[in-house]
Amino acid sequence: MSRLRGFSPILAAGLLAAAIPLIGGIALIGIAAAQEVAVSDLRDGVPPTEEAAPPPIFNEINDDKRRARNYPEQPPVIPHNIRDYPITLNANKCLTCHTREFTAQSQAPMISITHFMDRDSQILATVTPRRYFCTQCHVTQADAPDLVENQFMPIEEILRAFREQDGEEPNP
Amino acid sequence: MPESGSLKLTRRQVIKAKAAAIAAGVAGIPVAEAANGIIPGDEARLDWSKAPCRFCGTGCGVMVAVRDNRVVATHGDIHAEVNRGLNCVKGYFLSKIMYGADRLTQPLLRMKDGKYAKDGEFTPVTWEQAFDEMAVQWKRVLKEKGPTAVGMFGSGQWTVWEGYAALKLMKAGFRSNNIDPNARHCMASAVGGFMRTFGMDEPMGCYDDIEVADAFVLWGSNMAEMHPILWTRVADRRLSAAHVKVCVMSTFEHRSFDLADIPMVFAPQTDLAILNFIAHHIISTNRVNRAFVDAHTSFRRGATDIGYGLRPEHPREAAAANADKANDSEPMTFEEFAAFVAEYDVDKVAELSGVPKERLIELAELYADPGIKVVSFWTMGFNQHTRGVWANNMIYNIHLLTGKIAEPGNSPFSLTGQPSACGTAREVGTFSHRLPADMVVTNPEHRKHAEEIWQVPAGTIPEKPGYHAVLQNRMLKDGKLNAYWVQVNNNMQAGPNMNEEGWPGYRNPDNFIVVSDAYPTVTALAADLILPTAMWVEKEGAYGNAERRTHFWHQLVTAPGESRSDLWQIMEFSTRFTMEDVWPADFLDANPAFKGKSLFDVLFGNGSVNKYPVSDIEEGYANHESEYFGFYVQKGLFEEYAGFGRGHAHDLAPFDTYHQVRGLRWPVVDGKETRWRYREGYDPYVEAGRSVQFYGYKDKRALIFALPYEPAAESPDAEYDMWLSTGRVLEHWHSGSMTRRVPELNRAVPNALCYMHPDDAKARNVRRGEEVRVISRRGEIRVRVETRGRNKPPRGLVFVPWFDEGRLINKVTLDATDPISKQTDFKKCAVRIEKVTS
Amino acid sequence: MPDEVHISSLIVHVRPECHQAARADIAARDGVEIHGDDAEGKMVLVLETPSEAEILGHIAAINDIPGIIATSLIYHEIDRPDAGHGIESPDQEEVTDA
Repeated sequence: MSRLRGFSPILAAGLLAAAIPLIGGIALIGIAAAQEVAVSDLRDGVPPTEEAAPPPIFNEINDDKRRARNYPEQPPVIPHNIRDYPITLNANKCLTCHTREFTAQSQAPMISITHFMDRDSQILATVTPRRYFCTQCHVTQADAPDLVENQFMPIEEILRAFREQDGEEPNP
Repeated sequence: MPESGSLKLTRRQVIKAKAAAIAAGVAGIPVAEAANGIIPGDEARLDWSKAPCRFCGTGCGVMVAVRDNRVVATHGDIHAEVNRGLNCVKGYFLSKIMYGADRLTQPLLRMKDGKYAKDGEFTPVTWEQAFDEMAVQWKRVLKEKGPTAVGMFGSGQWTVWEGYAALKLMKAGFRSNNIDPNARHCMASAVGGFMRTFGMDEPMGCYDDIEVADAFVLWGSNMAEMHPILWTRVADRRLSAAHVKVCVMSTFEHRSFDLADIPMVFAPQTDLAILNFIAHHIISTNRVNRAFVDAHTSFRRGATDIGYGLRPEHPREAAAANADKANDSEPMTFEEFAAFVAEYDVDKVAELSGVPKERLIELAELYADPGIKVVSFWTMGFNQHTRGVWANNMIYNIHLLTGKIAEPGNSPFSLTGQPSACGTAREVGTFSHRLPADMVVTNPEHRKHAEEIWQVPAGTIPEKPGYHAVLQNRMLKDGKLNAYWVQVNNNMQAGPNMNEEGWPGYRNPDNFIVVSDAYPTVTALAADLILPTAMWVEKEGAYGNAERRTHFWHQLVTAPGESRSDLWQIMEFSTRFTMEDVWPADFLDANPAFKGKSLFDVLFGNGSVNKYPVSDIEEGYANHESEYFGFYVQKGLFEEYAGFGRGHAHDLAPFDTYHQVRGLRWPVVDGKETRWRYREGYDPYVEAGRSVQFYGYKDKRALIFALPYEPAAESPDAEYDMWLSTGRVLEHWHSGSMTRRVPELNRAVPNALCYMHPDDAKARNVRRGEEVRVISRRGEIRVRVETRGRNKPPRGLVFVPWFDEGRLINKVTLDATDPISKQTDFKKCAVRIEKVTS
Repeated sequence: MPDEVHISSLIVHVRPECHQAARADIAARDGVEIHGDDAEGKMVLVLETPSEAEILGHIAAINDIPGIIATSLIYHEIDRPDAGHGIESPDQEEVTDA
């Protein structure tokens, strides 16, 4: 077991370089002395005791383009509008495109057969009821800006950083 | 563009390696290296370890992949009984919560001219400087005003040992009961209900009830969003067995209604009347389980007109007859109880609640019919309620009257909001009135027992309860609480009535406020000193979920920069004090053995906490605190703490066991967990041949309480004509400080909206997406209107979630609490809505 | 959809006394690779199949091998030739949580 492997210096340096956050608001900025720091907030710099106009309601992205996942276990996001899609006792609109028998017509991705497994790991002929409510895992994406940059690194990025460090050709 | 031929092979290799690595991680076995020549060797290696999810009280198990000191992936643990491989969308994005670019990585102190100043600017300092200033402030306040002027506010997100260390620091060290968790906002009424009805906290059943129940009743709970993985189990049961019925009750329509056979929107506060109607229906149709009731219950008449937990000078509070004896009750007979609930007939309750009579009867039959096994679920709808303890008592009434309790499928089940609301806040007892294992500071025997385990002198723990959450903010404002430490919560955003209490309290120049957090929350920015904090798998931890399951995880990665865990902070801070600094001279004279010792030595170097060597840590895992202090800190704290409950029906397994299993449900006796308490055959504490024993009370009986409907603290009127209810959303956890820093979750639900009935919007000439002010007697926010979203309020009610730091809805809410539990009612206050015209 | 390839992984539990025989049966199956096993009778398999129907077929067939206690599908992903942009941006189409 080698869980204690050291943190790569190259990665650490890369993180520091990228550590200027992309942040909406900068509050409580010290201007008198150099050692004071800007501390970010998620209020566009509006003090908590004051009120500013809220951003508009953002639209859901509706371009049907698949987004790369951060890691294979991540549920894919929904690249289209799902307004008025019922998922109720009687109807599930998502399944009308994403079940196997309809995907030829709809050209939508088919639901993985991991979704056919019940609580006891038995594989059913169709989607297991425990996976019935699609929006518990799959969410739409609004065209809203990120509040803060996220510095999560997918495994491929970490491996690439190591290869570069070792002087190998980076994978195209 | 790269060559696709060679790439295809590369892609496929990588996918296969991933597929193998994930399965190997789940199975816990090594992958055969390049057995077939296509695994790219060590490159694809990931180290997988188990951990509980960081978010809600469901307590899902996840597998966490680490590569080179970074979390690179997470997925649902198929070996975790709670979730068997599933996560909700938040859980699937756990990998990213630690990597927001604005992680706090060094202590920040407000300074001016090189010195601490309340009106100074945040300036980076070393831990040395940070604790120096903190110790100066604590010592000053202790000297000037004594222990009642220092305080701590923690949370149900503390790990078990963090909460335990904090409790010791405050109650045994500083001799102050001013420690409370944000679980006060969340679970206090549930605790009050359990303690009052059963004399013992936490559910008798467990999640296994779900797979065998015939009916589910959601009392105000929106499990589809707030407990999604439990909802997958309910949905599985409902959709797999045609006879199963789901009743969903709330003051507005929400996602859980999508599965409802019996949907029910009732007028706010009338849940109390509906509960009494069900009791009346059971009695009047002769379906009381008399054998059960006679053998296992007693009847009590509770005090009424008990006030609203407001400041004593508030007119509503002054008018209440029994505000000072809210928890009182007197014995009564079954016949008297039957007469008491008889006034809640279907006609009266239908009119009061706005629910059609047939539907009320349909609901009541789920309980009355002896052939239906029924699970009741509730969370904030009952708990955040000025009669929250009553509502909890009253749901137990109907399960007790029918004997539908403490057996598989028949289960009144109080869900929890936070990952360790049960494990830490409740079981460790980090409340202003509590001690571990359901003990309280007001009981001299309990104090004595705690003092013995802690090896501190008799009389160390004060007998008077300290300031609870809402009172802490009031006392900060009033200048009576002056040195204050907040850990692992965001109470400026989460606490009620921020404008009148929270903000003036933190910014009161008399006070020194310290906030430990991983990110710059509004609470952190309202502090005088910010301490950067390690989170989740950056430290070794333990949580306890809603079904009494204690589960552990190892430290898997290093915290960034100078971040340190709350546990390290608490222990290291204690090294700054001698006993002379914290205990008065006469107390030390009476206990001279403590003279000259440091507070650290008394609390943590006591031969018990520092009993286990660092070499006991499982091979392959780091542990920052233990490496720093030189002993296995978490094990010592846990084993000392477990001494409170073992042999007292709160038995925990040995420390090392928990690192090997996916959690165990206490009491764990002879290595076996307990799924149903109080029931012979399941619970080892029930005496042979007695079938059921509610052993929390000495006579082993549960109490059925006669309690009336009473109105809310503040109802709509001509000036403020709408109800306001606040709450959460699926995609964000609490105040959003972690989830809003995950871009996918932020884009899923970017901002809080004001959910409103289209006719209410039309009446104010507002269209969807337009801006309104939500105004109460205490404050206002500006927010956009949503008339067709996932929440569909009836006319007269608006819903605004509180995750959005940009729209601090708690400027508007009222700090009215349940007078018994002191828990705030975030679901009911009066507002008016005004269109903003630009 | 031409040329798509389904990659999936399974955990198979087998009675220890039947382990070697079952292992040989499994290894003989086309499109099935054994990527690891342990003394307690757990095996990790990776399947490469033209469609999901073959995955179900393999699972059914493996379940019929003497000594097999359980077969759990852990991972499933479709690799399509037109989807590739290199490993930096895997464009997976299927839900692949375990």
